[in-house]
Order: sequence, then C-alpha cells, then structure tokens
Amino acid sequence: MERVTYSERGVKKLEHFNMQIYAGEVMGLIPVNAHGKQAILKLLQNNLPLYDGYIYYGGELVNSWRESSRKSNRVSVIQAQNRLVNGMTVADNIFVLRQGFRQYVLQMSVLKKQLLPFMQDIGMDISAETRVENLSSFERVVVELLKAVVMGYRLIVLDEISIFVSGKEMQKLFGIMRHYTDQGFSFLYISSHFEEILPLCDRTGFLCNGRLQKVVQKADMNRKYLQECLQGYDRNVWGYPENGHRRPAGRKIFLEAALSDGKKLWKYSFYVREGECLTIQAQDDQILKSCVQFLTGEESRIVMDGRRRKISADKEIAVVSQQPTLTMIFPDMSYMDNLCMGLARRMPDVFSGRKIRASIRREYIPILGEEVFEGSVEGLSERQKYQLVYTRIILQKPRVAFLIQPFMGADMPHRRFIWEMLEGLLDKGIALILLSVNPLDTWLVAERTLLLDYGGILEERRELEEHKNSYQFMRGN
Amino acid sequence: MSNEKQSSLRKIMAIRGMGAAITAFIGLIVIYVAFGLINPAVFSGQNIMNLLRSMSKYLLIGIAQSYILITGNIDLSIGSMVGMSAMVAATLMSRGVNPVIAIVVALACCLVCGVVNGFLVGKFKLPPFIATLGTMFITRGVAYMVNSNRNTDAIATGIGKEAGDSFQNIFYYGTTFGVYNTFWIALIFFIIFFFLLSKTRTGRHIYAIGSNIDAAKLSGVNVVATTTKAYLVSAVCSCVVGLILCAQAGMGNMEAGNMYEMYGVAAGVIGGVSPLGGTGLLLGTFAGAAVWQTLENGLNMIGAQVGIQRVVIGVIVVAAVLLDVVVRGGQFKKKKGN
Repeated sequence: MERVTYSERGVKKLEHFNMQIYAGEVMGLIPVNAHGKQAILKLLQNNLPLYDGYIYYGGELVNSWRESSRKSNRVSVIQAQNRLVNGMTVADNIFVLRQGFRQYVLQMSVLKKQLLPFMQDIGMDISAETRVENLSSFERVVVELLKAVVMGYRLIVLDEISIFVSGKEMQKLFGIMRHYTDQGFSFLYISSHFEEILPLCDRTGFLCNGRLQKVVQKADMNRKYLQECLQGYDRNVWGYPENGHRRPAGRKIFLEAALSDGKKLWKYSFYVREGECLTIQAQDDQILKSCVQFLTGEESRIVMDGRRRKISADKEIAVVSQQPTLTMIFPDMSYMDNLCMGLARRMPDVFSGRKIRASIRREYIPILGEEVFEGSVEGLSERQKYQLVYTRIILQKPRVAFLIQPFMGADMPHRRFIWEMLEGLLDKGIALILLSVNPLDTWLVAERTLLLDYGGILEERRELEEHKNSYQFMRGN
Repeated sequence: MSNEKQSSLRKIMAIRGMGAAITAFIGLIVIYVAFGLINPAVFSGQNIMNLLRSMSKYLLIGIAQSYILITGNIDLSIGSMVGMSAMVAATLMSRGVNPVIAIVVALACCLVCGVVNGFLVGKFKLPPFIATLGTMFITRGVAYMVNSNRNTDAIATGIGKEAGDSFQNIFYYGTTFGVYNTFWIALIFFIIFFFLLSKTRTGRHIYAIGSNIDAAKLSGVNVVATTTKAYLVSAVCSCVVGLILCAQAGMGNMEAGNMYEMYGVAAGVIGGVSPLGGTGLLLGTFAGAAVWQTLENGLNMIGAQVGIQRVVIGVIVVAAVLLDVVVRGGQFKKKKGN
C-alpha cells in the first residue's frame, strides 16, 4: 500500500498510508488507536475507490486513485467472526465452497484424502467430516487458514485472534504460521498486545490515526526501543500498577456455579471480595463458551452466599457481555431508557417516574454530558456507549458483576477508558469477575486470577505480583 | 420560553416512531380531505360517526398486532381469536347464559390462547409465524366446533330481546355523548394499552425485547413473561373485537374476524410500527387504523370497486414497510460507517 488516502463519508480513514508486506514474512500491526484499522482490512480485501495512492498485490498494481476495479483481492481475513458455513463439514468448507471447484459428484473419501496431507503438514488432526459448528475456535481458525492456503491466497490477515484463542493454542498457531511463511505465504498479524507480537513478527508497524507511525524490525524491538517509542503506552499501561490504587479488602462473597461440557456437569466454588477484581481465565475457548452460555442463559442459576439465584433476574448480579457497545445497547430506545434498564430491577416505576428520571439526569449530566441525553443512542461515540453500559451497572448497584471479555475489540485508548470504568465500579464496592482466555487483557486490573478448566479450578494466581515482575522486566529493573 | 418550547418539541420528535406517526396523521388528513372534495358526503356528521365506529375494530386489532410487532414477533391467530370470541360468546348467549358470564368465558378462551402463544414463542423459541399459524387453525377450529359447525341463532333467542338489545347497544349500536360506544370502548383500551406501553416497565421491556433481545436478557428482562404479556394484550383486544362483531350481527358467525390479523399488521405498519421490532407508537397505530378505514370508506363513497380498494391499501402497506426498511437500512449503514 503506497501513499494510500482513503475516505468514508467524508472522513479520512487512512492518510498517506504506506505498508509493505514481503513474501514469507509475518508483519505485525499494533493499532495504537482503532482509526483506520477497518479501512486497511477493507482495502486489502476489496479494491475500493481511493482518494490517493496505489495498492499492489504480488507485485502487480491492483488499485489506484486513477482506477478502482472494486474486485476482490486474494487476501483472507481471519477474525472473531466465523467465516465458515455452519452446518457443512470441514472438507466442504475448504474444498467445495471455493471458486474453481469443478467436481460435480462429491465423494467424501476423495475430499478426506485431499485434506490429509494438509493436516499432516501442520500436525493437526481435524476430521474432514466434522461440522464446522462443532469445531473449537482454534480449530476454526486453522480451518480458515487452510482454506486460504488451498485457495492460493498469499496474504492472510489474523485480526485480534488472541481474544478467543488461548495462550497454549496461540503457540501452536504460531508454529503453523511459520510453516507457511517458509512456503512463501505472508501474514499480517494485528494485535493490541506487543507481548504477543514480539516473539512472532519479523517487522511491526504502529497504526495511529490512519497512519503507520513507525515500522520496527524484529532485531530492533528490544526493551530500550520499546521504552522510547511507546512512552505513552508505557506510562498508561505499564505504569498502571504504580498508578492504580488498591482498595481495602471487602466482605467475601461465596459463589457456586455448575458448568456443562455437554456430557457432565462440573461444580465450581470460589469467592470474590466486595470491591475486588477477579479474573477467571478459561483454559480454552470451549470452557469460555460454557461460561458464557451459563452467564447469559435465561434459566441459569448461581449460588451466592448460600442462596440460589437466577442470574438473569437477580438485582444483585449484573452481566456485561462481550463487545457491550454492540450487544448491550438498545438502539431503538432513548439514552435515558437505556440507562435505566438496570435500575428498573430495583425501582420498577423508574420508567414512569418523572422525578426519578430528572434526578438521574441531574446527577449524571456532569459525568456523561448533556448532549448524550438529547440524540439517538446509535449516534453516540464508542466511548459514550461504553460509558452508558458501565453507568447502567453503577445505577443497578449489583454486588457482583460478571464481565465477559471486557476488552474485546477495544483499541488502546478505549482499553484505558474501560480500565477507568472498571475502577469506578470497584470504587462503588462492586465485586468484578472478568472472564477471559487471554491473560494479557485483564492482568493489569485483576488482583487474582483463577485458571478454569472442566473439572475444576486449576490454579489461583496473584496477578499484582506477576505483573510487577513483568513491569520490572520491561523497565529493565 | 420559546427555547423551552423548542426543546420539548425536539424531545417529542426525538421519540422513535413519532415521525412515522405524524406522517400517518398528515396522510390521514390528506386522504380524508381528498375524498371529501370528491364527495362532500364524506364530511357529513353521520359518516364521521360511522367512520369512527368502523375504525374502532381496526384500532383494537392494530393495538393487538402492534404489541406483538414491537417485540419483533407476529400473531397470525388474531383473526381466529376474534372468530372464537364471537362464537363462544354468541353460542352461550343464544343458549340463555348471562351475557357477563359469556363475555368472561370468551375472554378466558382468548387468554388461554394468548398464554399458549407466549409460551410457544418465548419459552420454546418456536418461530412466531409457525407457532401462531398453529394456534390460528386451532382457534378457528374451536370457533367452528363450539356450535357444531354452524353459525349461532340470534343471541336474543337465548337471553331475551331486552338483554340482547342491551348487549348490542353496549358494544355496537348505542351512543354516548353522540358517539357510538364501539369507539369509546376502543378509546378506553387504547388509553390503557398506550399507558402500559409508554409509561410502565412492562412497556419498556416489550421495546427492549424487540430492539435487542440478548441485551434485554442480560438486563434482567424476563423474555418469556414479557412475550406472554404482549400476546395476552393481543388476546384481550381480539376478544373485544369478537364481542363487537357478535353485537353487530346479533349472532355468532364462524367466519368472523377472517383476515383480521393482516388488517392489524397493516394498521400498525402504516402507523410506523416496525415489523422488525423495537420501534413504534400506538399513536401511529391509531393513525394507521384511521387511514385504513378512511381509505375503505372514501373509496366506497366514490364508488370504487372492492378490488381497487384492496390494491390501493396493499400499495400503501408495501410503501410503509419499504419506508421503514429504507430508514433502518440507512441507519445500519451509518452505524457500520462509523
């Protein structure tokens, strides 16, 4: 991509953007903020009209400001969103659902034979007949990757996959990527965690406000350089353990839950203190899915301080789903109604009580701003939407709030903002339980981490100690 | 002061569905005036009275269907429930049962149907189209069976002429303050259900389910109970319309209420209730029902054929839905663009 300037609805998403990805390399991309990231993904996949610049693929000019074909490039993007067709087998997705597949009568035995060498090459054992909805997230990523390889796509983009693939599986995936880079395939690996990018990527770019601010060679990605070029990040993120204050330990809340792996019901008991942040780190994506199903199920019940409670109906429990700015907003309702949805559990007449609503408005205008109450909820900025969701929880005043992957899809500034919002909830004495597969997401805010697998809690970690050590390592102490 | 007025006007216009409701009211005035200019009899007091009375059925059916549409579902059993209510009440009355008991029994039958619909859709997650298609056939079957597959005799033969006349006057022929009772009944139900939808927690939960069902669940909304409540409102309105039809004919007709579920959809959609759920005001449904009835009445009075009436109404319904889809599509694109 050479001097690419690209606008959408009059907003410049990319400006004089330059990026080269060479054959057989893994290029890392750290979005310091999210501005322009989606535009890069769009332009890599489709040749959309450019305001300025040129895009080359395999050495050939495919898109320029003079002429845009609007055709697709042979680039595959793997994200949290499943791009395989559910209900069909792995073999169907890899071989049958692609352009140029000419076989009319399908023979599963032939497809199996075709798939076998690919699987053996990368040391995986996924049956060709498995339906894709039965795959784990890691297996799904591998199948999407294989599909791209089979289709001859030379560039594969992996966008924030560590939010749904566990650390152990990531190591395996890195091995697979290295296998294909040796064959000349290229990868663009997008992640907000440079701890992930450091060992994997040959070069790394920092995306900020639609521009690639810096591109660093792997050899230069040493501690000293990171300290220099990531001063802001350093101050805000690594400095967090020093800046963040810890509250005195509150009362213990004992919880008991039961998760199903499809065959057996596993019981878990743990505690969290009021005003404490606890991370539950799922060992893999399957157990995370079970946790999400449990927390969002209409009939799910949890034992809290000895009393069995329905999660969806109990006013002392709140659940914030992943990507809350998309999933927790009621786009057709007013800001005030959105805000009061949690409070309605405590005050059923909040929707008819003008005085209550006026008092909420008065109290929150200094924090939220007056303008948010006027317009449509859809028109709010991402930051305002996060604020809306978390303020709703504050109004509900639960004792325990479960947050499912709270940092998923958030860029650096939003991550910092989410930390602030979480701190706000902790200050109110609310116990927070963060659910995640990636420890990098949550370790700065959580005080303890429980490692969860089917069968039980494997380990309890005191995060403060750990990230103090990491912090000292990064600072060179 | 003027700033305050402007601000409250802005607030009113910011309410989702208000724009569509106001458009429907403007459309209503335009249609009414246009027909009046073609045939001045449209403006006559008697015609206005008749218009209000005929509109009442569509208003009640519109309220019923709007509640369901706002939750993002549909109720195909409304018309059959109307028929069942008319037949159950008429059969009982024609056999001498006290009208109040007959009404209570008819209401109970409809409420059972509402609960079944609510559970099938909310609890067992059946597609509402299929679930209510099933109950549509069941309730129509009950309407047929209740009097052994034939229409009932006149209700006066069972409860006597005086009681029969009273029943008919209360629900259809009688007037209060110069306006037919049918309209007052519809208006009372309109006010009650308007309040329920716009001023209560249940109302907000109904909107929340239609707007984002997953977020609603996480916000503590009991989806089964709320869906069931919406279907119960639908059942109550259907029952009242059944009683109105029974009073109008003075007997029970097995085919009463045929196609009314679609009239309900039309009234709601013309008034800006989104078939995609989450948006709409009963004020719009009021306007939608009035537009529908004014069109029927006006086309009748200018001597248009029934076929043309249907075509015109059909085009308006499609246009209204198209408008909703286009508006929502625009918003969706805008959201994605951001």
